[in-house]
Amino acid sequence: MACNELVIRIAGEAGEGVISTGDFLTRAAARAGFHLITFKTFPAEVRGGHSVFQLRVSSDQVFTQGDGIGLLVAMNEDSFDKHKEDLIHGAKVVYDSSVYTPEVDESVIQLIGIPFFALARDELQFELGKNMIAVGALARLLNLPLGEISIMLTKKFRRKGERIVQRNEAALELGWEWVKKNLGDEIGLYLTPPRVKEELMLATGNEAVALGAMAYGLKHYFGYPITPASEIMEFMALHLPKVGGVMLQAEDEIASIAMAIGASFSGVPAMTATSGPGLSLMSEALGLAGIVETPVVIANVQRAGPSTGMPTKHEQSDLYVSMFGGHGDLPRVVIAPVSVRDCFEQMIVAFNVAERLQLPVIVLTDQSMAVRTQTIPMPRLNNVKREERLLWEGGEEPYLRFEPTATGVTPVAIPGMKGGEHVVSGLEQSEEGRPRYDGETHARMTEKRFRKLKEVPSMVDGLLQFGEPNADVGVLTWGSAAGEAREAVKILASRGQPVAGLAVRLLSPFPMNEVLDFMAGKKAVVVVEMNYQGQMASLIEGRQGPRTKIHKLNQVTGVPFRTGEIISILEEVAR
Amino acid sequence: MNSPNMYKSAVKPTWCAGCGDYAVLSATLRAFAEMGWANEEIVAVSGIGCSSRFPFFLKTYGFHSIHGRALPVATGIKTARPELNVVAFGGDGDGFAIGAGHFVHTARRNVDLTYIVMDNHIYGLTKGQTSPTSGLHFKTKSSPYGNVEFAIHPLVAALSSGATYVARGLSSDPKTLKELFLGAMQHRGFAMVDVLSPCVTYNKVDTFKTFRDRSKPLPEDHDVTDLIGALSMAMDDTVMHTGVFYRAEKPVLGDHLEALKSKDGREWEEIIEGILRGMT
Repeated sequence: MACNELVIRIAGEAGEGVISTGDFLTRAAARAGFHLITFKTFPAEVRGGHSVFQLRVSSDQVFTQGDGIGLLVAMNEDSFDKHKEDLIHGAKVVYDSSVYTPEVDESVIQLIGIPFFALARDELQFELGKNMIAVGALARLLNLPLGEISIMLTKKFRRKGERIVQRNEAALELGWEWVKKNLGDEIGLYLTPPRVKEELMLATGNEAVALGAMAYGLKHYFGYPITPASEIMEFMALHLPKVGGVMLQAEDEIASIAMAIGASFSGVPAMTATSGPGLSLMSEALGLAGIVETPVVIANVQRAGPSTGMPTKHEQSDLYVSMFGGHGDLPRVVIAPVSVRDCFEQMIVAFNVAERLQLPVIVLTDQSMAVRTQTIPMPRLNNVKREERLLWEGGEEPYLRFEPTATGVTPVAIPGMKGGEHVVSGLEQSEEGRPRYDGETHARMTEKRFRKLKEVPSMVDGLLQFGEPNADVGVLTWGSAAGEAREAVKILASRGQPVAGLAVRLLSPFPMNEVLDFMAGKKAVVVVEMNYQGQMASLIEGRQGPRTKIHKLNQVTGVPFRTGEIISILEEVAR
Repeated sequence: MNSPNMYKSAVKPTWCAGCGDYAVLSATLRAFAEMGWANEEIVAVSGIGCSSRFPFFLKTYGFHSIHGRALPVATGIKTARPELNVVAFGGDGDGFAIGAGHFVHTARRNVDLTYIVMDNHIYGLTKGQTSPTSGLHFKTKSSPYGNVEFAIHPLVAALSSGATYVARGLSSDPKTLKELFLGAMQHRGFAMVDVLSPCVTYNKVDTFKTFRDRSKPLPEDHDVTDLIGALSMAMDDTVMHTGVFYRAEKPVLGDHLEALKSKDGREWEEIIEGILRGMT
């Protein structure tokens, strides 16, 4: 017997190797071509506490971390008790039979006892080998390639010496052999290999943001530590110098965006990344980038707010500040990726838009997609389409920095170009860059800056459609909630219930007509977003046709939606 | 030699007649000329304030940014394009109040740029409020009963934060001022010149005369390599010393960043593909 997909949760005390066991299985599965999403929690305490690693593995594309557990690996009784409520009907539990035996209804839950601790102590005289025995045993149960794990193991322990490598290798094999001998192949956890074996890589959303920027050609990054965005800065710090680039850690978020704007003014693509509190601090400089028409990309990894809020928790409540934050009439573009893979793709789009249209672009991701690891197809750099800034080519002087054009985009002279000397300013300014306070100039220049936005819809794939477009019920969403919504729609389709789905990627300028077209004629549309106010829903409420009723699914629980919650409301409104 | 006028834009300064900043402008133009810099290789950066209008009066690239943020903007420019000559201009409010955080960190990083502060002990653009260099009991519209705060010591802050060229000048002495600017521009590292530059409209206490009376050149035997000596001179509340307090040769931020960069000669695509392959 085999399965196409499985949600595996490994739980234990911190220090029991939960995370490293999960990492080994994740990498082995990814190398075998399985699609997967992982989710992990570390205890807040440095010592003690409870660790969880969840891994959803599938032979097909996956959209969420999964609602219920199909396989629980519980290293001790307490871990079993904490997670037993999440077991699905027919789930299996792997437990350390030398430590405890879970009490379950064995007609519903299948127990698989493996004496990890006893094996480590008695067979290997190496108690710490318990984790590697578990990795070997699980690899056998799941039919994951042992050879790949062995390679990773050697790499991981090499620095600790040949003896440590050998002992762990022996533990890995012991686990594998024990399952082969005692359990055979009848457990039913064998994963069906994917039909198409794609080359996959593993990345978090934060890594995908950084990689997307680097794939565009970014070499100048300025940042300030903030949860849950710091990994972007750390990735840049590690890798940008390799491509001759620079990561500079600023003294605060105002400085980081000001540095990025300065770098960009000098002629290079530049970015920063932050989370809500940082974006709030950056809003004045966002306006500066807008009025001086300097490209800059800001990745905002949302977390629960307001103020410091819940820094490590998920929320999608920065839509308003991203779309409307900052004073004055400020042209900006806001793009929200819908998955880890999309983080990579949309960062390239963001730089293309920023550089071509000379304006600030906010890429709005969120904690859920930022920290989870997901398989994405290995990017091909030669497929990356790059747009560059329109540079002044010399000629007529004096150079007019803000000369009006049909598109609103003026060729830019950068420092070093002779004859192109000019001053840009946060003050309203004339075509040649001189301060002007007359209303006529202000109106002309504001219109010029906003004219550039007309090109945005042709540059951004602003809408992701899924499900059955003509269905009478629709789900409308954005950001990582699109993952849960897509899964809900897929499950309902398999039950014969068609639902239309739309995820809005381009949030500013908001594609109002397209969203209204999507809703037109439908009986009900559920707007799914992880915030209290219904920030996207409020943009469209009251604009829909008379037949359409808008329902809002909002939560501020700090964790992503469960697919089941979206299914329930869709079923309810369909009635 | 280049002519100072070649760095002058067609824009007439917005400063009041008699403002100390005119002397700073003319000393800057002459220092540029002596440096022999090409117009297009200079970037003048500023924040907000009367003195921050400076870039408009220069025929160079210029960035008149937002209040307090001249130094991070300048740092971004210099980091991305180390070959450019970056000069930041601003006032005491811009640099020592709203921008104080950036001031100490730019000094700490020893960013290779020149920072010229026109210090008039008052907010002029907003029509006369107390500034961080205003004296105790100083009366303005925001301190009608007298200032209740002590003034900051900008030079002490610069020195203690790691600035590698620290000087003070008087706009009533443009000849010396030009020399101080020239020294700052020739210096490799963060060079800060605090110019006592009176506001003739809103500050009737700190005038050309009182600045002159309260200041005197550093002693001839002052050792510019002695940080502690420089600090004690800068902290002297009885007299405002002028001249070069401190000068040190230290690696600049750009040197450290440059040293981190990989020099293995591989194309960036190849490097990024290596990173991607490492994530399987």
